[in-house]
Amino acid sequence: MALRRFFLYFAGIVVCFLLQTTVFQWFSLAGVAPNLLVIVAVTAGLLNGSVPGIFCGMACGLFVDCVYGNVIGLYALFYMLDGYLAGLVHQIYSPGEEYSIPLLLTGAGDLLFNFLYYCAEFLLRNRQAFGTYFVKIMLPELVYTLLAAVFIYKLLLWLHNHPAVQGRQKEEDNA
Amino acid sequence: MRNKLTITIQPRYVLFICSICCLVMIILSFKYEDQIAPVKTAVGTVMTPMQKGINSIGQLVSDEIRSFKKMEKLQAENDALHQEVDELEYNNKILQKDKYELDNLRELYELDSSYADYPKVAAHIISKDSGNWFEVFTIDKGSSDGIEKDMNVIAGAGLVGLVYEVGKNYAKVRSIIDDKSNISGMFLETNETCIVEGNLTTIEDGGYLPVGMIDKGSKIKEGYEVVTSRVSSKFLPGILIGKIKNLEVDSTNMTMTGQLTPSVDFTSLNMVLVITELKVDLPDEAYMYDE
Repeated sequence: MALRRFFLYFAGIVVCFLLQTTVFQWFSLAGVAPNLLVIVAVTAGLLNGSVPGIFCGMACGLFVDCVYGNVIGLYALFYMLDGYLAGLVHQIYSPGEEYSIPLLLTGAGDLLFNFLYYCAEFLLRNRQAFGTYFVKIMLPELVYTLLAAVFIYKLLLWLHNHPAVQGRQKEEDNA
Repeated sequence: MRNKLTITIQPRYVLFICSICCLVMIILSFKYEDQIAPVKTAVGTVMTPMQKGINSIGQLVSDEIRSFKKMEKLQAENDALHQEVDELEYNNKILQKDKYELDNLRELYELDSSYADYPKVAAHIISKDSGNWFEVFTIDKGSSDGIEKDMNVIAGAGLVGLVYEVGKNYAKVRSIIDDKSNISGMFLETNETCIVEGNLTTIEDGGYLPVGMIDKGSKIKEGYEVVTSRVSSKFLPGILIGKIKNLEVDSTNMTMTGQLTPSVDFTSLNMVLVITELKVDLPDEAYMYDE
């Protein structure tokens, strides 16, 4: 089961990464594309717990780091934190047919991610116009990410509960 | 039985260990930038063909939708363009006259380098940085097409940016409007130098880039053209960057600042030219500013 989930999330990361860097750049709203990888990291944490969240977030970040980053590890650190924090909620949350908590977490994760990124890449270079960045980038990205999250979370949840992914869990429980 | 022996580690320790890993990676990759390049290249080489494929589909659909939306806009644009054509025709006549004069002067000074002569390679833009903070994009030509690091990238009207990383079949370009870009420029009319800074906020708000370090006593006026300067370390001289406006004297009363409107429209860029000629290496002391 663990292996199947690994492949599910790995595929999710690759697909979301590709979509985020290509198709969604063409359909960007207000000049901003949604942060699909945050959704994957948060979902992984929420549905599987902190440790899978950490690893999934780290994988997301390393992808971005390797392809676009100046240094390797920065994005990984931020995505990882998102995954971990979402995982904390896993213990007190059971996924069902309501989306308020996953969406809330995704939104919070996106804001946290962008805030940390602003601190690391802009504040340290003394670019202090946080208000402008907030309105021009973080807010549109948040809205767009939440819109995308409705669909992607639903899809991931469906795949997560799908027999092909869950299949052997019962056998393992019996053993 | 085996299941019960599984060791469980507290998630926060996992987080702690992974964070340390990340920090170590950040420091290592920062220090040994050249050594980790193969790793980045490997990932990039795998991803680029996939991005290219998906991108062509995305572009197709997006183009369809856009062409629908843009009907009204095009009408207005058409009128504006007609006006511009008239202006340009007039300017062209002046330029032709100037060109004749210039040709003579060139012969005199044996200047035969103008950027029309540089060898160029055309490339498509296939993806953008995954975040929204930087103006960095990937093109579909790489080292196998003769692209090298620090090559200049231009589009029809002027300077677009600089190649900062090269893979086998792709290259990454940092555009001049990127927040980390910093270019040494020169006024075409007076040969005075200035610094053009990339800035995310100003380009978003007003479509301009801040220009600094202009000599206070200089005779430049609004609308003068800024080109890349001869003292730039990476940019070939004489490539058009944009036009200056809103000149103001600094609070220090020593220099002036201005606003530069880039000559390239960065919102609708999808094809660029890469100049496959590098600026000849000069010693580092030769320039002060420039990234």
